[in-house]
Amino acid sequence: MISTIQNDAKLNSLRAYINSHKEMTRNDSLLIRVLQKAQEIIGYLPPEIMNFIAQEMSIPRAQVWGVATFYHYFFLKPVGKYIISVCMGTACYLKGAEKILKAFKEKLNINIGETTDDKLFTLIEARCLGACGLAPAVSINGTIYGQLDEKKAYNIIKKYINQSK
Amino acid sequence: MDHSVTPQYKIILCWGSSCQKLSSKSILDRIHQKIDELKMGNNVDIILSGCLGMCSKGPILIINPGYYIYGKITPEIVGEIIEKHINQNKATAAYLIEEDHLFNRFYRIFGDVKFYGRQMRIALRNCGIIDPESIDDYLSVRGYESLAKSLALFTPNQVINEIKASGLRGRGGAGFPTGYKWELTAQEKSSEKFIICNADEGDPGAFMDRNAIESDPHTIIEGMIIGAYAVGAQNGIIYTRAEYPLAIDRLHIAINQAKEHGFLGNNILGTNFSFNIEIRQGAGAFICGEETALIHSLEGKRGVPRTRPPYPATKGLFNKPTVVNNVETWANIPVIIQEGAAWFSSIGTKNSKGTKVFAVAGSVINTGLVEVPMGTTLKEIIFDICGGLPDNKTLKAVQIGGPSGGCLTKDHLDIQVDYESFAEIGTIMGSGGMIVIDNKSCMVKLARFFLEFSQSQSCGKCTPCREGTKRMLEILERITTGNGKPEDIQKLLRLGNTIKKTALCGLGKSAPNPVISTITHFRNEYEEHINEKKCATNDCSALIVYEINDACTGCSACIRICPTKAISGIKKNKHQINQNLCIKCGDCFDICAFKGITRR
Amino acid sequence: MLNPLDIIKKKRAEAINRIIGKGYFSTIRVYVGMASCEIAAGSKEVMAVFEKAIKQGLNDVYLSQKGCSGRCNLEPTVEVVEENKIPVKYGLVNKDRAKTIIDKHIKKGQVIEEWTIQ
Ligand SMILES: Cc1cc2nc3c(=O)[nH]c(=O)nc-3n(C[C@H](O)[C@H](O)[C@H](O)COP(=O)(O)O)c2cc1C
Ligand code: FES
Repeated sequence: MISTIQNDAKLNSLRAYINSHKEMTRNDSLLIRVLQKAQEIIGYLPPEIMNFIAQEMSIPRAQVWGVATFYHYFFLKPVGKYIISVCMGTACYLKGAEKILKAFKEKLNINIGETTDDKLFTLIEARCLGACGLAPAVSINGTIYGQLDEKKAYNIIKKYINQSK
Repeated sequence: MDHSVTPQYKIILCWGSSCQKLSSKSILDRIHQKIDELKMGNNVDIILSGCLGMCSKGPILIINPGYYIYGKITPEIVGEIIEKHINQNKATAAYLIEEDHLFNRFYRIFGDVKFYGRQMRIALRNCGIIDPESIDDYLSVRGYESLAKSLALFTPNQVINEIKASGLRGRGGAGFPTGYKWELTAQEKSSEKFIICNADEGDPGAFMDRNAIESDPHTIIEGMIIGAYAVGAQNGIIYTRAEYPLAIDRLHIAINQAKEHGFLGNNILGTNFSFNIEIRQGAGAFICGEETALIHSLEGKRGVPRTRPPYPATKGLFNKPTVVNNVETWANIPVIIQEGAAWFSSIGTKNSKGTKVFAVAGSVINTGLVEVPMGTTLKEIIFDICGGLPDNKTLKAVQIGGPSGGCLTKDHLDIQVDYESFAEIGTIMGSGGMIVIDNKSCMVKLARFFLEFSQSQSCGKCTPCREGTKRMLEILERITTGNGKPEDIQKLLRLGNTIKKTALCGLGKSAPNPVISTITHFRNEYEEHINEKKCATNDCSALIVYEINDACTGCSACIRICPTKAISGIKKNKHQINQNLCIKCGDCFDICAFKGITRR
Repeated sequence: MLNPLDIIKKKRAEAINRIIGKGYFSTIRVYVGMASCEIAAGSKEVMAVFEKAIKQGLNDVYLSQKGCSGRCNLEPTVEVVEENKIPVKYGLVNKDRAKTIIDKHIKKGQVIEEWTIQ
């Protein structure tokens, strides 16, 4: 049934994770954690995986889907190697985050929530990254870049493109 | 040879309210007089600090270097103390005090800097002082002593009474009295109770909680353990944002260290009290900062809020009594236990005790985290502590409380920070975001920004919030793109007030606040956008018009850069912009070397 | 059995001993800010400069990371603390500044006034 997921090792490690909590009381409360783990292992949450989780945890599918679609953190589509999250928090907004977002959109030719064709970048918006003193800021796979302008934004993209060559 | 120009001596005089009452002012006059007499003006710097916490021994004077603390000084004696100390290098032993006060470590390092000196650090007392990954560092600054004190000397009830008497109120926004909340949970007869630390820091632009966790995680853990002892909880959960990886790492480290030392786990510090803490990560939904939504999320469900009552204090996680408090609230607990409710309640205003941490950002010279006693004015925070606005910009508004809060104007600068005075002028204390806004920002667009945020975070459960905020946003979009209609302001107000009254949870109830408060204080800007299709700050790009003026030399730089080919003209002749094609990107304005383009 | 207050007293004394054992009483103590805001501003590089200097023989210096003291716009921050001197707080420290702080301040006792936080 889970034919589209080629990598059984990944599936097994997810199953192991779920099983390791089977004994816990109220283990269905761990759904979000399991989804986070699944996304960590697979990169996103394909429908098959959500069904798999429902089955393994004995939770209705509707609930798993409901939860996965509710939270912004979960990706239901494959994502790129680098996730660029542009801070749209108040401090960054006041220091021109819109321009930075526009620069990324134009340079990568994608919209928010989309992934480039080469599967290198996914662009998302973030609430405050906690680097307001360095506004405007973006975070790329957890590394924060601050005091950006359009030019710096372009250079950062270039850097990552070169890195992955 | 040292050519240092900084004064050799830095005198810190406590300017806290208790010391002030005890004649700080005449002491200050006397110090100035003495220093003039000694002709030491260039060698001595005087800093007036916020309360240093040693009120019972006040008035307090500290002479640096060396951090010599003098207590119970008087205008009569202070001259002699200064002369002996500075001129003869001798301390006046009779007035010296040895005190291992909780705050000393901070002021020892930072007390001579105006930015810190004027603050009062209770929740943040160890931030920037100790190594957050070392429990030894925390123990060395008297960490976990409050826990030991609670377990050894207080019954659970006495802890609750102490917190009640301190007057501490929740720092997560609503300001509910913490001791009373604990009492509700303590009174519940249930074999299972929970403690939750709300570290979901939702306000986009505020980062107090992240910083507190990253810089001093043990304080929060200690606070939670004391709370658990007071209400009889067995398990605690710290619910934090997934966007805070370092905070999560440090919490893990701290929890493990606390377990190793027997502060968590079974039989804490040899007593029969047991308690554990685990960390849960949110999944990116602002609404999960609301306590009932947070609890749903912890139960593995969609993070939608429910109506209260019942409050979590009686029916919370898995329907069990649950205390939910904010990070900063927890960070205050160990200090209250250590220093006592009487001391804590001497700080602040009548109904708001203690301090509040603000994350000050925006158009201000010193951006950063500021912890001040309740009752400090906005003016003191923005101008005295944070140094005012840069480049001679003028203050237009101060936004407090993020998407749930409102805007204040320069007429409100003398307002004292506390729950009641903010409520009176139609905003909220919020979790502590404070954004300084200068004349370059458009208030209509700012209101749209906040509403856009709330709208995108609406969970969709109740109609007023889901649909109402959407309609409001449409109107604001209309106004900021030059399509506003005269009746729009009225419409916004009517919709806003309806949503405030009918929405299910705090998100919806507060979402219209930024719009309503900007209409109240900056109505003229709305009218200008609607009637004249003009944005005075040029912030609303759709309302900007670019035109070529007579300074144009016809160099054609703008023709080359224009992405939509809206500019035409012959070389060496004045060019023209086709307004129908112009997308107002401003590239021509930026590239023109001759100021040949007017923006209005 | 020990009472919690006795236990904590003992623990504190032990902790302080361990800190002293790590060289707390060196002539100079250096603290480098290491919260995520400081790190975003480049404090890891700054820390590395001090670590390297110590490895290469700079002695009598106690180096420690610390949290964030809330001066966002001046990060990364570094404090140089000596007994009986006013602690010196440096702002906007980068690799080069860190090297200069070591050469001038730590080795020669010259405070670099322009970079201090006043
Ligand atoms: C929309 C919304 C968002 C909230 N976000 C937070 C938050 O990020 N952090 C927080 O501590 N409280 C937040 N609260 C308040 C919580 O519901 C709750 O009152 C608080 O955690 C109680 O702790 P306290 O009494 O210590 O403030 C939010 C409330 C609402 C309505
Ligand atoms: S608002 Fe962008 S980092 Fe805080």
